[in-house]
Amino acid sequence: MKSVKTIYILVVAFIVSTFQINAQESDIISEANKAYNANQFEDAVKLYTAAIDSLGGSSELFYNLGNAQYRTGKTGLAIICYERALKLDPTNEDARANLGFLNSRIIDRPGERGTLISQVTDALLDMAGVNTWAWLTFILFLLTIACVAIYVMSSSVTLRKAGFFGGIVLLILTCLGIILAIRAGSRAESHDEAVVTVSTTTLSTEPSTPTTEAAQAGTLHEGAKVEIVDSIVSTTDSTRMWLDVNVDNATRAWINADDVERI
Amino acid sequence: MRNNFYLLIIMLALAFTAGAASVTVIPPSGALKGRSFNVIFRIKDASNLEVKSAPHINGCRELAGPITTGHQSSSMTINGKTVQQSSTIDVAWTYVAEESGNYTVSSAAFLVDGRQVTTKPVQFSVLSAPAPDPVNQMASAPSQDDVLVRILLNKSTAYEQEAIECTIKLYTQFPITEFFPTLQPNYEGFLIDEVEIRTPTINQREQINGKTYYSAVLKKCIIFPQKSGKLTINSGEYDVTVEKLDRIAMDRWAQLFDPRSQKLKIKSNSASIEIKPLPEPRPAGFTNAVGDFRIESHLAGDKFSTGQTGSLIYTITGTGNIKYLKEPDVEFPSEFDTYDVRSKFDGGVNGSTVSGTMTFDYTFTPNTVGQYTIPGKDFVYFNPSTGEYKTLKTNSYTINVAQGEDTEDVNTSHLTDILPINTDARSGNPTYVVNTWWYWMLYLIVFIALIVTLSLYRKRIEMIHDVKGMKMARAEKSARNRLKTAQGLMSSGKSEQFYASILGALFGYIGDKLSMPASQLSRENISEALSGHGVDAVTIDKVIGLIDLCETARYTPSGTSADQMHHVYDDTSAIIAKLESFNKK
Repeated sequence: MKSVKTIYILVVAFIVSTFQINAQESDIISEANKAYNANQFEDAVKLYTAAIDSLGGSSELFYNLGNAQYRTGKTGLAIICYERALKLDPTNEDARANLGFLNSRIIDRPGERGTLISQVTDALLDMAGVNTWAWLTFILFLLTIACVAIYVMSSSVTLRKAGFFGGIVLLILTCLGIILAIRAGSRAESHDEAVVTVSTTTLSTEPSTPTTEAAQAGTLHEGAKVEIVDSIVSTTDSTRMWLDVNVDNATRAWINADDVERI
Repeated sequence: MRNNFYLLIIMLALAFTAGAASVTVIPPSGALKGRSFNVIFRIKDASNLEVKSAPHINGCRELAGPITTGHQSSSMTINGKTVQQSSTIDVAWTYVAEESGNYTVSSAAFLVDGRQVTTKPVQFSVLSAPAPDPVNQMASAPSQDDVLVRILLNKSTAYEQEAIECTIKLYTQFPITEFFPTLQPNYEGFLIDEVEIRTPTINQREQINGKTYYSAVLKKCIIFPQKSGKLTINSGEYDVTVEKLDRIAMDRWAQLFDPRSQKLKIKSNSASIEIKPLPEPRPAGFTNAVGDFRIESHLAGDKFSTGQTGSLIYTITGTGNIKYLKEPDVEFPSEFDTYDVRSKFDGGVNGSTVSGTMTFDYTFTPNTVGQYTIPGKDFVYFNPSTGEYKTLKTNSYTINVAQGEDTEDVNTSHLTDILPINTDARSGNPTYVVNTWWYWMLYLIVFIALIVTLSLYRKRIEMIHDVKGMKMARAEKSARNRLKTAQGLMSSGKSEQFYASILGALFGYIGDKLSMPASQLSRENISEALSGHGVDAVTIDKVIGLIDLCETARYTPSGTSADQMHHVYDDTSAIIAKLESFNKK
């Protein structure tokens, strides 16, 4: 993993050479860090939010904002920040640890979501960053090409054999790598998950405020994560937006869009 | 089409629900001519009832009706709340038939909960002979005093929530043919546990105010007062038809009885009872348990692990308002998930109180590993016979929770607080290269590079092959050209150039034919390569001899004659022809 990371850093350093830090940027972030360390968490939240809005959110900035949100008692928003931090960089171990800590303290227990294949894929993708997968795949592709070239050009029978079989194995690995890299990329840019930000919200069987007990599909509490399937703007129900969400594989219901925030 | 389909469904639904709230006709059994009898329509599970059309019987005279009596037959306790399960409403009409024979009750229509239900006609028979009655030996005319209904309580004062036995008894001096409660006693302020009495039977003799009555228990229930003060059970009203037999003495040995029925309206007494409030101060943890109880608790299982449910069971046995006990408020550690308490009552009316076993099942799921204590809960009850509060202790339990197998890492965290912020944080949205076009262009570029490289490589290989083939094909021709040059040189006597030209022709020919570069052409290589091509040793010796001769002659120009040059020329020409013939084989 370490060698992969080194390669990744080298390649990224080579390709994204336009990365620069200007003076204003380091100012606002260090101000935010100062506020946090001085236990002025409200200020820290404002400063980190400003830094993310104006300069672009990095995994570390979202992680720090999550810490500040948690310190001001907003567990739901903190969870969203950690989720965003992990989405930007799945290898942010601090964010993963804090998210685990917060998830262990919220009321709702996450149920099983997705198929076995998607769960395994997601666990695999969490092991490295999105671009690591991309460049790893590209390196595999280069090796495949090299094997093809060896197979075609070499006059030695042993080398040709190695090139042929090595090429087949590498081609399969490359195809898997491409699938993983595309999934990692789409996962990082999708916004189809949301976290409950209010202390309690009632799930409804239809896209309107449940009026009868039969229309209630359960209750979710702050910090619970849902997968958004669909959304609808209700015309009868004081023009509010309702989201069709999967809570887990067994529960699908409507939730008031005001009560959740997309990751 | 669609509408018809819905209509069909609605009609089917109606048919099914009509079956649920059923109306059964109970014709009189053993009705006698000249005496009144009742036809009862029994409606089950109806909350709203209206008679649309009354039944009539041809040949019978209607005396009274409809008389409606309601009866709630069964109840169920769920989490301490009593839920009525079913109810029965009886609607009765009273008739009298002047003649014996078979009669038919015509169909009657009822509006049950807004739906019309029509009964089927039912047949019954009226007998002429009166049934013998062992009870009646009296001859005097019935009066209000002859039939009594009494509400009896087993105590005059009681504490709140204390069990009181309430019995409603019928006393009569005459046989009773009909008995209808028109107004049931009202138990306001009480919870009731009723003892089911299917058919009241007259089976006892009792003396009241000096008179002897036959008595029957109409109703028995255990009532629990819900408030203190004077509580009254209102009197009930009943329509009773008694039968008096007028004895007609024929002679000393024979007697005839003339049955004569008379309808009486009976009003029962009302019963009052003084309810004492429970003594103050009420101890902490008292939740209105009055009676005499024992409590036991036990944990289901002895090994606990995270994510797996365990059960703590409280069993309360005893007498009193046990059916209405509230579950003890057990305090589980906050690391445990708890669920609704399930309660189960097993028992019923026993003598003058209610006794049985109440079971409370607390289900819990430990979330984290560790040692926890579920504290014991005091159970406080009031014993009305001693007039004192009593506290029962229950065990506390210490539980060791091990790591469960199925718990996910998401649910547990070893942290006690969040980790500190990252002070090296930098801003900037990362670019995901998979979502850029140039990332995929790299693949295309590399692929195109491979294709280009491979095609260039192939072209070069082909070219090399082509050059070889051409050289081979043109080897003889170019050798002949060189020989022709040599011939010219020979005739002009330039011996040195002649030999060089002959050597060139030989080497050039062999080099082209065997695809050997000029640098590799030496005597040894040539003989080896030629033998490899199947040229015989004599010819090879000739070739080598010729090469040697030419090289020697080339550097000793003086020692060569025109004749020798001519000889060499002919030999070379013959050798090339000979090699060419080998080549063609």
